[in-house]
Amino acid sequence: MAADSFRDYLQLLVADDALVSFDEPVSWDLEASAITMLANRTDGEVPLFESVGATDSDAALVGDPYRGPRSRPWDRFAQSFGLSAGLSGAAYYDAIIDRLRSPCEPRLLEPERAPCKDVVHTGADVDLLSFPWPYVHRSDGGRYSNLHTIVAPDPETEWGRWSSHRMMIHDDALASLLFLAGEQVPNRYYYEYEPRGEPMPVAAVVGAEPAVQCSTEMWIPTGRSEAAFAGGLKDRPVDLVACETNDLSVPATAELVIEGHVLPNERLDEGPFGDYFGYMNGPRRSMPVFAVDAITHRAEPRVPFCVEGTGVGYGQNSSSTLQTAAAGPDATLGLQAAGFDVDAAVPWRFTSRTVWVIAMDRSYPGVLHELANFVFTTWGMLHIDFFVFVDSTVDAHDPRAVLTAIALNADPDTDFHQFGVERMPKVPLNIYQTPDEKGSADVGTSKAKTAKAYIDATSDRPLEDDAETESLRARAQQLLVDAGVSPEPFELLEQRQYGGGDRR
Amino acid sequence: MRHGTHDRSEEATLDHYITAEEHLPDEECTETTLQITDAETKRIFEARVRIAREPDELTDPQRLTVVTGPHETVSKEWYVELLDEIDAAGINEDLLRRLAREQETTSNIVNTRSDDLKVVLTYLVEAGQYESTAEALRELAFERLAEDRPALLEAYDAVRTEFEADPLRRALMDQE
Repeated sequence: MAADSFRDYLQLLVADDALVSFDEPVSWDLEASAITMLANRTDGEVPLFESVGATDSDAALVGDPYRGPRSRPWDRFAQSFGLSAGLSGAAYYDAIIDRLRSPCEPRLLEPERAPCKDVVHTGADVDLLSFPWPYVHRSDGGRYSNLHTIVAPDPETEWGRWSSHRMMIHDDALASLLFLAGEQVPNRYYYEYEPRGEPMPVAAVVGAEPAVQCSTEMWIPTGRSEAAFAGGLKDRPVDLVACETNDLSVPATAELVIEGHVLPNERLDEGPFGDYFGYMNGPRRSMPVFAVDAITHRAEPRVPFCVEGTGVGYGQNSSSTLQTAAAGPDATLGLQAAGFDVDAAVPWRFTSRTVWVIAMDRSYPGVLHELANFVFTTWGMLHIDFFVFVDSTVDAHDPRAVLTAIALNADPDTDFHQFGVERMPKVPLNIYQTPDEKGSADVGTSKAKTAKAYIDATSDRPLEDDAETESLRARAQQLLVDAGVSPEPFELLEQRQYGGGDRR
Repeated sequence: MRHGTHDRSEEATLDHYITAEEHLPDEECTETTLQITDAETKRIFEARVRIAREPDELTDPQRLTVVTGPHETVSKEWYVELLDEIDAAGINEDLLRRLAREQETTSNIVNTRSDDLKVVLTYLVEAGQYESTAEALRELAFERLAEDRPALLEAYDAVRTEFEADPLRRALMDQE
């Protein structure tokens, strides 16, 4: 059974005994996130908090619903997209890449058929704080929505641009959005709307179906829409519906949709927030203001959230799983489309936004540097600090295999490379830059530039030695045949025999 | 009033707010606009306040946790006295409400003295663009306010709607 809505997805979890409901009231103030953190650490069931204390809302909270099983994080997405059960990491990546190669345009529903329009609040009726947004970590700057899709206009696509930017709730109708310059939607705001003094319409879609959540995490080429790739992922169209107060379209089965505008030349505090590194990350920054015009939602909406910081080490959470299950196959396809013979690009499971493993054959000298240059300069991957390159024969999904490759093949003298020293932009969410180096970061990247790095853990078989090695292998095969072994399995023997026939 | 005596049990009954050190004014006990977070609801808003390190320096002190450090993981306890809440556009809605309430019982004439303004307005009337200098002034002033102070007009509109829609609230305010 595939999942066409977040509700369907929760039913999949129920059927798998992977969801536990809390009927007794749980507080949005640290309690829901603490329980979720324990579940994330112990690979336990996904918690659904049916009754959230101190709110007027009938909304429920769901803690890290997209967290996959620790041993096979992609399993639940595979199930959601109707793929076979029990796929290996490599087989899952192949299946997702196949789906992404066949995008499927979305379908626009009439509003009366859209579940996300069960309840509509506009104007003075809007009250953001009536929903149980969690206060996730002690010392966070405020309550957050951090597992949603931001829909923004894009003149190049009919369906707009989908991306992920956490949102700190300020009051009934205002929030701040973490817009880091360098990413597509923030760039549209900073370099197009704001200079014109024009508010940018946006919608925050909370509790979208799995295909939408996955495509939100992907790097979709300019001119293409995430909506079509989401349709490709589930092999049928995603249903969209028009917003009430602007021209955007949003996923129709979403649990909750917040419509509004990002105001020009206005800023509000954003952060600190306990971020994906597992540490509190400050200082607070001035970030663009999201002014809410309307809120629409399903009856008794289920509001998902992520306990950031629990997806490092052995723990998994929604964002680490989305990196592995969505961003990884998408990047693999992107690198292949760019002409790199990449077998797999897989986020390192223990710190998924910082380190990626790339399995590929080193087809010519300098290809690794060329690939790193392509990624760091073309895609502007602000979060990733370094790559580990391994041979295509190494399972990039298997941390032991990757560590073995580093131990056996990475020469400390020659295989650890710095890249773009003091020139590379960096998201100021890291913990190794000082506050001075991060700067005030009005538009998001650190004041001080940094370096990226890569480890070449591919096997060191110099290309110029290939002919000599092949000659040695052929000689060995001939010796074995001469000693009476069947020549059938030896691929070099025929060639040797032609040459060697004269010797006999 | 909490002058002189102040103990832990009393502190527990106080409202609790949070702000960042970078938002603090240079001087204590002066009236200032400060962004604060309600510790219970986590609502973030601006208010006209006075702050002090000691509760005795304020008339109606509430707890104020001031967070500091690169990740705001260090905190110290101050006190805050809320005077008026200000909305995100910097509009003091309490002041607007008071003025709107007072307006119900006072003259609605706006006075100004200017030979130049009178000549220009009279010109507009005699040129047939307005019926009277009062009408000309009203329309021009509202046009300018709509352009330059939309948030103020919006807030005032909300206050007026509140007044009209809530007879009980009006009755109570009238009795104050």
